[in-house]
Amino acid sequence: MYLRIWSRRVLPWCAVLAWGGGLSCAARADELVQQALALVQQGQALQAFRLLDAQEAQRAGDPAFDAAMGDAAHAAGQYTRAIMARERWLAAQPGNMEAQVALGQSLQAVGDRRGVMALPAPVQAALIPVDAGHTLDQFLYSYDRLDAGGRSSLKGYVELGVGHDSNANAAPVVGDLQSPVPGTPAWALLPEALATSGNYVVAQAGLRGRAVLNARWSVVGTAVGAARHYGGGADRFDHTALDGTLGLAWRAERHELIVSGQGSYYALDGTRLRTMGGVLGEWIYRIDGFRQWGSFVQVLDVRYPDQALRNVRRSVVGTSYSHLFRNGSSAYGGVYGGQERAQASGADALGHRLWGLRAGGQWPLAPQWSVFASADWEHRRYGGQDPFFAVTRTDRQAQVALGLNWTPSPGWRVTPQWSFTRNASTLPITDYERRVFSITVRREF
Amino acid sequence: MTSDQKYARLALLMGMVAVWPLTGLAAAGLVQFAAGDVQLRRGETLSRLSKGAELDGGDVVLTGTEGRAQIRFSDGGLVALYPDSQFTVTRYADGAGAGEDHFVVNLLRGGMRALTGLIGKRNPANYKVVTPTAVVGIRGSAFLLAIDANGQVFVSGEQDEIEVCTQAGCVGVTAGEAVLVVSDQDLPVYTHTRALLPVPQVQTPLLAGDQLDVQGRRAFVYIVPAPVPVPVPPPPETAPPPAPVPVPPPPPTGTPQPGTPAPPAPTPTTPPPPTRPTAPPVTTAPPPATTAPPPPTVRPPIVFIPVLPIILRPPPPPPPPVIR
Repeated sequence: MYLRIWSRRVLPWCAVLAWGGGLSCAARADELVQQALALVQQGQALQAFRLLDAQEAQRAGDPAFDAAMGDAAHAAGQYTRAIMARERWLAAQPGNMEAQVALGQSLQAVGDRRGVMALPAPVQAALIPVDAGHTLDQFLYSYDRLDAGGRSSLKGYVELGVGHDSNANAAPVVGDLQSPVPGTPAWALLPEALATSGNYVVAQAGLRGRAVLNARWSVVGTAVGAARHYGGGADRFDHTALDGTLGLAWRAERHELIVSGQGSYYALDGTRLRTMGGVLGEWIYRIDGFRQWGSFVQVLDVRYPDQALRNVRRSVVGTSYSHLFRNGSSAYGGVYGGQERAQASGADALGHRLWGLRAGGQWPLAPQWSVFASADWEHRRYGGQDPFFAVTRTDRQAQVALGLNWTPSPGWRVTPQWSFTRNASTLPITDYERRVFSITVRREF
Repeated sequence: MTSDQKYARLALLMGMVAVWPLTGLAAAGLVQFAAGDVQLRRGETLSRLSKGAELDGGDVVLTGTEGRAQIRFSDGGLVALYPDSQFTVTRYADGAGAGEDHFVVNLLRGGMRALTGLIGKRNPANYKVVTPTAVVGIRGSAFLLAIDANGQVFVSGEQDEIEVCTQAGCVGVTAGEAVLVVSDQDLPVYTHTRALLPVPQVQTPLLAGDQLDVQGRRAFVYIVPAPVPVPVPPPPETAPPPAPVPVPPPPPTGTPQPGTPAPPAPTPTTPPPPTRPTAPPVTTAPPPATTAPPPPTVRPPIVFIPVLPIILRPPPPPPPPVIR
């Protein structure tokens, strides 16, 4: 009896209150989403994320809420939460391209390449190419194929390019040179010794690979060949270069050690000019999949078969830090130092001590475009007074490069690039500037 | 059923719906999202799993080919289940500081993405995801785990660091890294791309000023005959002769320059041909002289064999007597 009275008189009011509360909640919910989106637009993504997070258990599955939650979480750096929200959004609206692209961006942010590759091709085309984002061949390189899944793999590329080189022989620009010794006559350079410009074509091919022995050990190797042919009067500076490395890599947790043997051959106008051979030791400490320190020790014998006095042993140590950002950008910086010790006695003036700085980065502009830039600076002080010029040679070399990467389709890349080198030297004959503009087309396989 | 009873049941249902988020957290977990074919196996009972359902220890969640589910645990942790998965809450205890924490779940097949909650923070050693071949522990908070058709387990880190263990040992996986577990007898293998920064390049070998001749002397310098004194006009009385050239003109034969390093090879009687024929330009030839030696008809005598030659320009007239 009492229950009947209670249910008849009280419960209806409860029902009205509940419905009213529900409607009020719904109204507030929409207001909540709008408020969160406004906060994201104001740059207060974390605050928006917290606002929505408190309601996620109730509102998960509501596309409007999930879209807002995904945006707020992604902007706040909560990529896993963004993925979960955007997956819900996509489950509710499977054909929603915006949801697919948004999910792809969050998957890229955590490095989930498998997830990205599972998205439809049009969606992938609207994202920063995974390959470009994670193998930054302009600066960073890798022995591994992205799709190798930790197994042994081999990858290669062929590259063709054309360019203009303002100073193919890295020679002084000015023909009249003041002698460093006061009161002595000036020098004049023959045309052959002056900076020679020319257009060129270049062909390059390379292979890199890793043979996995077990979870810790692997064999790594690289082979790269390049040939450059100049047109016109600069064709005597045609050159060919072959480089190869073969090494053993060991990895445990955050550390990877690689010891490689290196060999190099360089021919100028068909005649061997320089060969190099040596050992490179590298220690890479990976803070995580996006940040790493790399340090190296290199000992290299540099030999000039027809200019034996130039033979040096190059010993260089250095360290660098590189960072891959979640949006596909990358940056690095490093410092190094060492010496090149002349091998012949009495040729100290041909050896030098060196130290240098380098930095660079790559930034995505659009799904198929990225821009990259680098700056290197090196100081070289030679080991004695130059016998000819009666001064101690000191070089301060700066090099900057700027370029674009265009990825018209997977495996293809077009790279226009401009670089400028300035070597300020106390010897007039090694003081030069060089500008190179090139466009290369690369096919990776 | 009377209308009163209907009102009563409706009101109770609404009341429950209004407060379900609060009551739901009393269980181990709450299904906050389900789409497609998602089922719950509790004991021998198999039922459809939908949003708002509670999960407790021993419950098994099965997703079909299009099924997806997201579970929010009472400690705030989240698990997203992907299609064709079988997920078991093996042991869950949210001590909340008063008792022992345990988060042990099994993934027999399929895939899951997880974000740890307070249990993972308070007691990471007791947070484990068990698969047929590996056990994933955590020192961090977010990861993806998938089992392929061959039973291989793929694990990638998305935030902080996790630890993937087999009977062979454990490896750490940080954000952006991934491992593949091929079998429980082998260490997990890292699968993500490992990028390296190349070492600085050696200076270009064709720098014009660095070239040496076969005798090892710098710069392959041509030295032309010294300018011949011009008799008129006479040099000013007060003007002293300029300092001698730092590299005195060499004798006719190929003797080394003063101060240059000793040549490593015997000096050839005749210099070998340069890589490219070179000749001094007419404009740089010495001025004609009235006395011997006569100006060279083709090119001045060559002392050193250059690839990229440098010539010594005669001093400006009127020159003093030149040392020869």
